[in-house]
Amino acid sequence: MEAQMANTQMAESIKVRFQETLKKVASDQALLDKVKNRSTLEALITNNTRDLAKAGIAQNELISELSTELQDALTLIKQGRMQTEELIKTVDVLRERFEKAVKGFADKFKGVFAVFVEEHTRIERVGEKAANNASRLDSGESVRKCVLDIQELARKKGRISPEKIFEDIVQFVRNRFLETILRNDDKRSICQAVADENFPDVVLDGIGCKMDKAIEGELDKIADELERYVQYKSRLVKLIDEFLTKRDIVDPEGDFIGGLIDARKKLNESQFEIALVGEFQGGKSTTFNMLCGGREISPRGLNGGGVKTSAAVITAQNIDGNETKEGLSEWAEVTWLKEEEIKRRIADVLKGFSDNGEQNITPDDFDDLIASAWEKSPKGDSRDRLRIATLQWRIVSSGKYGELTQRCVLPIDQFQHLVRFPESWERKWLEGGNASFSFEETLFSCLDQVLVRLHSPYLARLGCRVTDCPGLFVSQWDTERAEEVMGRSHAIWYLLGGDKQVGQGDERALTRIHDNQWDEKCFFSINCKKNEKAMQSILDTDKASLQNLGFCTDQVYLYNAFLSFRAAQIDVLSNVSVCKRDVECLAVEECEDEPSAERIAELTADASLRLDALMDIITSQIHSVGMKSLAKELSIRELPVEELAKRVRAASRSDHIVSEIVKFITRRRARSILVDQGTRKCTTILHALQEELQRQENDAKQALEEAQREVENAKADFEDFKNMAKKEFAFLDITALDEALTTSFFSEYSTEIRKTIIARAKEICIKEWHGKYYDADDVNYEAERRIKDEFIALIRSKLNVFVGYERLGKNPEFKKFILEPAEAALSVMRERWKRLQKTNQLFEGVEIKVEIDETESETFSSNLTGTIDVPWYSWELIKDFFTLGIRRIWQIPDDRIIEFFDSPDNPIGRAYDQFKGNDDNRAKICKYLGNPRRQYAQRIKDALVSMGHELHQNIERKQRRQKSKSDDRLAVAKRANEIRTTIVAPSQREIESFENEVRNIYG
Amino acid sequence: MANVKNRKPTLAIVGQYQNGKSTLLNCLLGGCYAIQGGGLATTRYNATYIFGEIPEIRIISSNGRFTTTDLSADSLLRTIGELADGTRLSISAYSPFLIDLNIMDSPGWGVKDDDNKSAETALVDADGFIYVFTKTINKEVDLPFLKKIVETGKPLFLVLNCLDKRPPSSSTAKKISEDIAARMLSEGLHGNCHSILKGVGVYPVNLIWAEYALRCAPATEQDAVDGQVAVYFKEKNPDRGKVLVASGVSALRTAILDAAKTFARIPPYAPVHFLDRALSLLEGEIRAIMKG
Repeated sequence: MEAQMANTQMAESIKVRFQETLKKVASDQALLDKVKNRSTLEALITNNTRDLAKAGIAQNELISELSTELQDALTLIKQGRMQTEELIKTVDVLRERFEKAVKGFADKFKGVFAVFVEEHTRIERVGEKAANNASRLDSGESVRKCVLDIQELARKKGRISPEKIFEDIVQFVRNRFLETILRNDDKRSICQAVADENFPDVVLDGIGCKMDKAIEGELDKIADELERYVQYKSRLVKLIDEFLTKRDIVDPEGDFIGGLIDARKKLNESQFEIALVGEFQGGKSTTFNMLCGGREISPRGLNGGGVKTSAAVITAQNIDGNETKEGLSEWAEVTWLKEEEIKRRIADVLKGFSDNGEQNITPDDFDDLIASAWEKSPKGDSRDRLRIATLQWRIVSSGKYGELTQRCVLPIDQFQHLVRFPESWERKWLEGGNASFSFEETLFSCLDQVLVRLHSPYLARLGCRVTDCPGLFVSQWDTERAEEVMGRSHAIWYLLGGDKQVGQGDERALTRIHDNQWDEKCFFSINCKKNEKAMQSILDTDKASLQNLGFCTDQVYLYNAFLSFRAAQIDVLSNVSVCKRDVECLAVEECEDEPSAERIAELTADASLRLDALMDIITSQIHSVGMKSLAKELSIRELPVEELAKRVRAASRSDHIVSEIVKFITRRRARSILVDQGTRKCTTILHALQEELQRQENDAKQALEEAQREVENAKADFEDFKNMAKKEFAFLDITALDEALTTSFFSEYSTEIRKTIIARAKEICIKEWHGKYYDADDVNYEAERRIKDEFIALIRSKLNVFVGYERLGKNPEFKKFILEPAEAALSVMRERWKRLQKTNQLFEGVEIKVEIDETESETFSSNLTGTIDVPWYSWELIKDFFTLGIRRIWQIPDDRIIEFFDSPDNPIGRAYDQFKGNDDNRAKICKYLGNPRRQYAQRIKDALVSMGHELHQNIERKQRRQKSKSDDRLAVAKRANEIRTTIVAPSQREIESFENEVRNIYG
Repeated sequence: MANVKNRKPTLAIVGQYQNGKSTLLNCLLGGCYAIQGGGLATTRYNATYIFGEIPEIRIISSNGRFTTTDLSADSLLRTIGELADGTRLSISAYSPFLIDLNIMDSPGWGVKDDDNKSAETALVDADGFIYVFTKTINKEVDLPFLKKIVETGKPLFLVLNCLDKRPPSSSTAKKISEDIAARMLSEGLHGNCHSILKGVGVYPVNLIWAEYALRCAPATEQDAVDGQVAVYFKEKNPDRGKVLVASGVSALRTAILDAAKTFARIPPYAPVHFLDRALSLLEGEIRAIMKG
């Protein structure tokens, strides 16, 4: 009951639409009004309106006739006496008549306005417009398309409400419109394209809803969207251009600007790419070939496949217009990997095999390394990589690579040998290694990509590039290639095999997509290989799995890859001129084995034979899918080819999936062009540029600061060093050491001096004065002079001997208190200085010039000065002795003198003892013996002063050197800062805010 | 001991989900016993098919207790929802194929970890394996499982399920078989493959043809199967014997039955099994004494 209601409703809506459409076509009041308003034309119009009115009446009659017929048909449907097929047929007939009527009316219109133009050339503009309008009606292409759509929807009666049909039509128009807009570069060409497409007016006329406010609103939205997109694009281009005007200031080397120019170019090209991804043998190449208009472009598994076929990345792009290349109307552009790139990849693979993690592998080592890598009998992924590397090296080392890569443009049926995966891949590796492959077979390993340019209605509708990736899950090589393509593409079309639910293999691949944050650009299709019921349960399970993985399941489309391809192929094979490769593939599939040359020739010659063969293949496929009704329909062989193609296409849902994808990518494309290829790239480049400038600025500033810091550090470190040295040598200031030395001196020499002086006095007495007469004063004087001189000379000589290094160095006190500590402190100082020199360049060449050794000590001893006075009172004794006894000297025999001097109590000895006990004398000797210590201390002080001086000189020299540089640096820093803050940063901010704005709109 | 050695071996059918394991089982037994899925993973528990005149299912829980029910798809489906992990099914079927060996149907590999685990228990329980492919080895899913099978050291048959209309004798089927065999060899997994060619053997079969010939497709699908076969052979009811031979299933059956005579539970298991039996007898004795 419900279905019947819906039927009635829909039939009503179709009726209303038809009536309205025809009315609009019959009376273009607006056009007439415009012409009428001009007084000069009035007469002419009056003359001609009669004709027009006549035509209008005829139209109206026709309309009412048509609507009556439609009404009848609807009544039949309501009563359940008419089947869907019949309704479709009726609508077909009505459509034909409708188109005929439109054409007739347009001819009349044209006739009227032709006269009009001929006679009144000065109203050329109006005439042109009128003629234009007439020709639009004439072409009626878009009208036909929309009616076809209505028809298509009528086919689905009972399931779709009129509102849905309405929405679909609006959506259709909207998408077509946007597609056209986004495919073109500038406003002018967009306008041209819109004009070429004959919409929106004609489309609206066609579906009879020009008066419909809702549609008008939609159209306004579309127009707004167009306007907005164009505005955004030009704004972004302007932003980039503004920045580029300052290119000489900002980036004179051109390191960064290149990227911006590239981005600007891409923005104008509006390039968009979809990557086809999925498990091997999942129908990727079949889908790809369907999109190529049913041509055998990408090698696919014939007769059920089962092993991997695609080896390289193939991209297809439609040719707009009549572009040709090297005389070919359709062609394939082959991009080879650069030789350096291949070598780098080989080196990367080989690094994984080297035992010691060798980093620098050169091509000279490749042969040996590859051989040794194979000796390790690798398994799994690493073996896959090594296989490819081995093949690549075989090609590159053959020396033919340069010549080979010259071939870049090929006819589209002649490149497949380059992208087909070698047959019996595994077996050949087992049996003969890389030698069992022919040179040609292995070329795929050196391909970067193949771009196929051809005419295909599907690609034209998509308006973008489509890339076929090698299948996942066979080898690491394929997975890596597919990931490269996914990364650079703007949308990822993930094909799920319809024969089974999403498994763990797919889950792993999808998780990688998710991890790489590509899920936003990902949409899914399921290749239906079963009947509807079975597909529904798979669809539900798959959607649940995808949701679990965090994907949005709004974009999961069902279609049959095999039938889609076949439907597209019907047109190709029914064409008289057919591609050799298409026929060969058909023959292989027909006989399920290697076909005979005769059969190929037969098929090439006869289109009907080709179609028969194709129909057999299609029929058996339909049986295995379980589409019984379609099989029945197709069994009527009388059906015309177009009809066949249409029905298979409808069953395969290829149109559906293409329009769904168009929907999915339209907005995405705007976003992709503006954001991904536009602002994102720009901001990345500007960010890099900013960083570079910041780095320059920082470098310059840092150099200055560092120099200053170096000086300050040097000074502080040296001060520390000085303090340390002072601390270390502080013991040299202790005077108690001198006292100890004096005691040591006396304990060593006292006895000797005493003895010597007495002996000397004795000698003088006996030898010089004995038996002589002297005046007491004379004797006094003489005695004082001689004894005193001798006495002092003796002590001095002994002191000198003591201070001499030979003696002093061996003196335990001196050694213990001065020499050893001084040497230890000195070595500590040297150590510390060495360490300091490493930390700061300013200490270079500054050395500690202090030595504590023999020669240094000798100089101390020669420096000895000063006198030692024998106090007078001791001489009083001697004088007394001589004064009293002088008279008797000559009388007293020698032994008395000897006895006198030898007595322990002799006055000379006593005089010496008194001298020794005298504090003043001791202080003097103390002072004298302190000389070496003081000298040491002085040396250290002097050394530190001279070091400080040298350091100062170093600093001055360095500062002088840096003076000129620092000025330059300051200038660089200032300039970099200026460029950064006044040009780059504002531009970046502008582009970022622009991006935010665009993101808000395009999601 | 002699008894243990001559025990009937159990052969497990394993492989990726939806590769036609249950269909192959039905074709080997010559009747519709196991439930086949339409793109979804269907088999969830290991089910051992043993020879028996009366068709029945024994549901054996992990502690060894069992319940018996009749063998109808309905009751099986109803029961399956209630089973706990670790449950095994033992199904008796009246098929001559089961006279010499038991055959085990396992859950498909590569959908979820639970099923993978159940499938892995088959590795312990079975004495040999039949691995079913539909295309060449998938390195993400097939390869890890094949490695585990090879580690058990038990015999392995490789079967290629030629889907749709692809005949097992076609060059395409040969190409895939060759590829599978070569990959097994290069991965070093060929050790226990049951060999008919040099190195490794792969048996290509067309299960749809076999389903037609043996009438063992599910009732609802038998017509569709018949239709497909009729379209391929271009005659209404092609000779069933001819189709069965062309399907390659009869050759596979013969190969399996021949091989079954040569392998049984491998020796290291025998003493354990024997000891188990002795202990349980002893336990019974003790219980009897205590009661007495």
